[in-house]
Amino acid sequence: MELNGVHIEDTFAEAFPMAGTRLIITAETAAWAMTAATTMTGFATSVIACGCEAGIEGPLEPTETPDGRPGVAVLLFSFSNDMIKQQLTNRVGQCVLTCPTTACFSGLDGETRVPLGDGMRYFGDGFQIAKQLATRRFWRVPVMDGEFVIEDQVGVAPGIGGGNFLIMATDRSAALAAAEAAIKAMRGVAGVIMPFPGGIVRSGSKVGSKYKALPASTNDAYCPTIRGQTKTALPPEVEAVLEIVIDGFSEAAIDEATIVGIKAACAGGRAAGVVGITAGNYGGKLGPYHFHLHKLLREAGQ
Amino acid sequence: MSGLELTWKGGAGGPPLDASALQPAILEKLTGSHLSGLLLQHGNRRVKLGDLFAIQAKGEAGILVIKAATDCFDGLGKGMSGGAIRVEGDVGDFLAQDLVDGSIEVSGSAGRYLATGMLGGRVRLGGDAGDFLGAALPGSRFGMQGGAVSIGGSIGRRAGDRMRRGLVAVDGDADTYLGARMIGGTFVVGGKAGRHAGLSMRRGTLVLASLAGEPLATFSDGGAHDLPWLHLLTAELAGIGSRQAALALRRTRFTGCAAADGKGEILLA
Repeated sequence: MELNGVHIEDTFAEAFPMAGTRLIITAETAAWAMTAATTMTGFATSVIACGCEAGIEGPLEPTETPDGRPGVAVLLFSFSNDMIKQQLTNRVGQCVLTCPTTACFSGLDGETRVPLGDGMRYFGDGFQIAKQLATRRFWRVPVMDGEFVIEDQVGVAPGIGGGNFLIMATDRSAALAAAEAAIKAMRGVAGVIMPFPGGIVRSGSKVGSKYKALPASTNDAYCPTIRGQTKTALPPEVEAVLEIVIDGFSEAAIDEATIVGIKAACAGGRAAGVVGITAGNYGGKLGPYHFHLHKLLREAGQ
Repeated sequence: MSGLELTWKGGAGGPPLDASALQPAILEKLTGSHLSGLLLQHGNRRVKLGDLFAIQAKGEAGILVIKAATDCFDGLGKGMSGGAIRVEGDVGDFLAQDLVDGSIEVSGSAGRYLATGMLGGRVRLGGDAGDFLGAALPGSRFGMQGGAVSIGGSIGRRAGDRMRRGLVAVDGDADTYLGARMIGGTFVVGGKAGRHAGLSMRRGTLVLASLAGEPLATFSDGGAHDLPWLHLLTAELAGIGSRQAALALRRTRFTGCAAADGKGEILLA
């Protein structure tokens, strides 16, 4: 299959079950809400070493937030509810509580819930106040700029981690431009995040290593400089590859993000230096979720 | 299955009627003579439902409509755990006592001890409420313990006495001793609150538009502040039918009562 002259490989991305949550961070200005969200989602690229994968789903208008202030929706995924709870305690406690004017709310309904403000309230040293409004419970924690309002619990739901596609290009600039275009378009899709720096990964990995201590190592088949030393997967004209990893709450959301991203990456076509699109998988035996590129693009009318 | 409509045959006044059995879940289980023969305590007599009310199967299941109600209807909605009661007219004392869930709407006014012991659900009253709204009964540890009450008119004395949890919004005025001995929860008054508000309150919040006289000497003036959580409260007020528009976020925060735990607050516009 070709899209604007770009070869789309007949393969699939393989993804895994995760647990996820959605927070709404508000502040006096949209800029401060974004500052808190950016800080909170730092060092959250891969669950293996960071404990979670987190990113910004998108900005929210005052009419979309519980307290009528500008906000940002943040998604956070991890292996278990306990790990989410731990990550929330650390990240919200250090990055949102500390950030001027912010408040923090659950952005996800659901029967399964984990503590959010329930632990952080103790920062109030006895001056904190609980407020129950309908079915939701909030804490008002006194801080030096007034009160930090935080919801007692946050909903968690099953998620999917590891949706992906790779952009192969004639040079690094072309790969970067295509990946940036893809990310820009994908940020408009609700319910997904691209957790790596700027949404883009340059160090795609494979399972295992020649070194026993390492569970993963560089994806040598896609590294252009060692194509003469390994069994390469790269066409001769490819000089750079970038990957986009997608986490989300549903297969449909990841489907949509994949389609939108591939279309945007291929918008300039072969003339923009984009040679091919492929995806990472482990033969389909490890992850229960498979995102077939051809099938997705055919369903999208390509 | 449909809902029920009861129309009171008596006029205003008369002996008190124990209306606690007038609940959708109770009445909808009964049919024919079992329904019309249900005995209710009316003064010192037990009278059949059919002798007191014109009964019609009407409307949506789970909804009980009571027409031409008067202030002799005591205990309406007592311990109800679901469904809806809509009342055209006034009701007496103990409306929504120990209410667990469901909703009660009354177009007119109510008597004393509205929502005492209430645990959940919603009550909307178009008119005024008497003394002891959400207050503890003599000998009880707590008054209202959950749910939301919205009052279109004004309320009597000692509202919220030993209230522990829940939300009450009053569009009109509150009489004296509002929130006395309060333990928790939120009480919003859109009009003026009488003297001695918050006497001996341990925790909880009184959000007041104005107050007769100065706050009690056992309250400390913490200064004026912008309180973003009042946005949340405003949204909730709209949801429970209160006519109060957006609450002023900037309020003077008085904390007390120092004679009790001292963790209560009066937020004065």
